[in-house]
Amino acid sequence: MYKHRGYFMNIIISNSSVEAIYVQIVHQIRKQILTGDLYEGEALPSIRSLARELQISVITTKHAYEELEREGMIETVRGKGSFVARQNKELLREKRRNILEGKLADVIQEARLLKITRKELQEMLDVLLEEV
Amino acid sequence: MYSLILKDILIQKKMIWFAIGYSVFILFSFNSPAFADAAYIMGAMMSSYLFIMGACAYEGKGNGEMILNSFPLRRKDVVRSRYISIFVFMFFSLAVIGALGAIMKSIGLPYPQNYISMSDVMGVVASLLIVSAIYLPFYYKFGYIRARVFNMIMFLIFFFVPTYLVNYIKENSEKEIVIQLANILQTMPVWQIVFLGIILMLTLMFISYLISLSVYKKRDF
Amino acid sequence: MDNIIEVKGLKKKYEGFSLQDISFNLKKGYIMGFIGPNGAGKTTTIKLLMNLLKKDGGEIKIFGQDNVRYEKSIKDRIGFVYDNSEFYDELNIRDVKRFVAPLYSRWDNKAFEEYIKTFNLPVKKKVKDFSKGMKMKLSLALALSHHAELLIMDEPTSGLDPVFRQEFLDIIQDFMDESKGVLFSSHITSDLDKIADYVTFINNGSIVLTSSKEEVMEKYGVVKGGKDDINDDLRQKLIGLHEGKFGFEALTSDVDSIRTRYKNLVVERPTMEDIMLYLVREGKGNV
Repeated sequence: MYKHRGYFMNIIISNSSVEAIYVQIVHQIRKQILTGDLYEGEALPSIRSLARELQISVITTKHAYEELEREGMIETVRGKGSFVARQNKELLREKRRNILEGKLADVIQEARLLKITRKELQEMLDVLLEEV
Repeated sequence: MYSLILKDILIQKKMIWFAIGYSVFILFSFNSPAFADAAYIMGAMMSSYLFIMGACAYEGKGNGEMILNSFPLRRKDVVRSRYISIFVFMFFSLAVIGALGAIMKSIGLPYPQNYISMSDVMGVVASLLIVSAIYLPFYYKFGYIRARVFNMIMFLIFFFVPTYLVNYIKENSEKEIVIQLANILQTMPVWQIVFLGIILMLTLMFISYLISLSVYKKRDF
Repeated sequence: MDNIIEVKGLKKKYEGFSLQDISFNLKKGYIMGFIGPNGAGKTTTIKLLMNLLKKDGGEIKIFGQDNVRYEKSIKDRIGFVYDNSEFYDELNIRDVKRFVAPLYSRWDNKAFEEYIKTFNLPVKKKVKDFSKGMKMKLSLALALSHHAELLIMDEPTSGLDPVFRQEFLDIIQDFMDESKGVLFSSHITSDLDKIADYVTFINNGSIVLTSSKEEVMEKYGVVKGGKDDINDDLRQKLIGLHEGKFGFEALTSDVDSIRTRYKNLVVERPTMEDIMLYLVREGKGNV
C-alpha cells in the first residue's frame, strides 16, 4: 500500500525553530537546487507524499511548493507533479552570489560585535584562503 | 431493504434449529385430545414469536440503530423490511411445523394425528398479524426494552381472548347481533369469509405500518 | 463543488445541552479533525451530519446537497466508522458482507476481500469474538469498500493500541486523494497532530476555533515565563493562563506580537493537545 520512490533530497523540519514550517521546507529545497544537489528537471515528491513523510499537513507542503514556484525554483505540471525548474545559469550564479554576500555580511556583523578590526579580519581571510 | 430481512434471518441461524426441535416436541407432546387441536397453532405461534422478537431485540441493542441508519437506507425502508419480515417468519414457521407434522405422521409416529389444517394456518396468521400490528408501533416509539413488557401482555391476551370470545358468543347466542352476524357468515361462501379476513388483516397491518413509519421518522438517535 | 461538507448555523437543543450556531466547511482533498473534551458536542454534530438527529436550525450540505433531502444518495458515498458497533456481533464476516454489499450501489467486492486479507480477519468467526482492534478493522473495511468519497468517523481510535492506531492513520492517508475528504472526531490529539489538515475545536456546544492546522501551529503558541513577567497588558493576550509555583504558562493566538514585545518569554509551537488544554481551561474560566 505504500509507494516509496527514492528521492535524492533531504528535508529536516525543526519544531522548535521560530521559522514557519513551510519556510523551512522552502529554504531547504531552494538550497539543494542552488547547490546542484537537486538537478534540473528532477521530479519532486508529490505534496501529499511529502506531507506524509514529514508528518505534516498537505496544506503546508502545498504552501511551500507554491512559494518555490513563485520564486521560479520549481515548476508544477498538472497531472504530472512538480519538477526542478530549468535554472537560468546566470540567474543561478547571481542568486548564489547574493547568498554569499549575505553570509559575508553576517561575518562582518559578528566581527563588529567582537570588535575585530578590518585588518584582523583581512588577515583571517588570507590565512583561510591559503589553508582551504 | 431485502438486505435487512436477510440480516434478520442471518442473525438467528441458531433459532432455526430451535424452531425445528421445538415444533417436533410440541407435535409429539400435545397428544391429549383437548390439546391436540392447538399443537400446530401453538408451535407456529411460538416459533414466529421467537423469530420476530429475536430480530427486534437484536436491533435494539447497543448502537444498532446508529449503524443501521448510517447505511444508504431511508427510514421507510427500515420499517418496511421489519413488516415484511413478520410475514416471512410467520410463513416459515408454518411451513416448518406443517412439514414436520406431515413427516412425523407419514413415518408412522402415533402423534401428531392430523396434518396441519387451514384453520390452524388462519388462526396463526390472524393472531400474529393482530399482535404485530399493535406491537410494532410501540416498538418503534419506545424501543425494544420498554416495549417488551407491553408485548408480553399482548401475547397473553391473545392466548385468552379467543376462548373468551367464543364463550361470549355462546352465552349471548340469543342476541340480535350475534344471530344476524351468524346468518351473514353462514350465507357467505367460505372463500369470501377468508378473503374478507385477509383484507381486514392487511388493512390493520398497513395502518400499523403508517403509524410506525411516522413514529420512526421523527426519532432521534 | 469545492466543499464536501458545508455546515451553517447548525443548532440543536437537548435537555441540559445545546449545540449553538455551528458553522464550518471541509474542502475536497483534506482531512478535518474535530477535537474537544467529552460532552462538547462532537458526536452530536456528527449525528446531525448523518441525519441521526433532527436539527433545530441551520443548514447542512454534503456533496453540495441538503443532507436530509438527498439522504440516501449521500450515504451511498459516505463511509461511516463508529466506535463500538455491536451490530455485527452475531454474524461472521461472510454474513456481514452478504447483507451490507447490496446496500451500496458501488460495492467493490475485490477491495473488500483485499482488506479482509490484509487486516488478517477471520472469515468464519463471529464478530463478537473479535478483539476491539479487529472490530474496528472490519468497520474500516466496510467503509472503504464501496468507493466512498467521504469518511466520517466518531472516535475511531479510542481503545486501540498505539501500533494499530498508526496503521489506522496510514490507512486513512492511503485513502486520501484530491477528490476525497475525511472528518473524524477524536480526543486523542496526537492523531490530529499527525494527519489533520484542518482542525475544529468544539467546547460546550460551540465552535471555539476552526482553522487549518498550519495556521494554528504558526499563529498560536505556548508562552512560558517567570512569575514576575506577568502584567495586565500581557494577560490580555493570553489564553488559559496557568500561574504556578515556578512560573506561568499560557496559550496565545498572536505569536508574532508576543515574540516582538516580550523577548524574554519562551514561545513554543503548540501541539493539538496544548490547544485543547488551554482552550478548555479558558472556557472554564469564562463560565
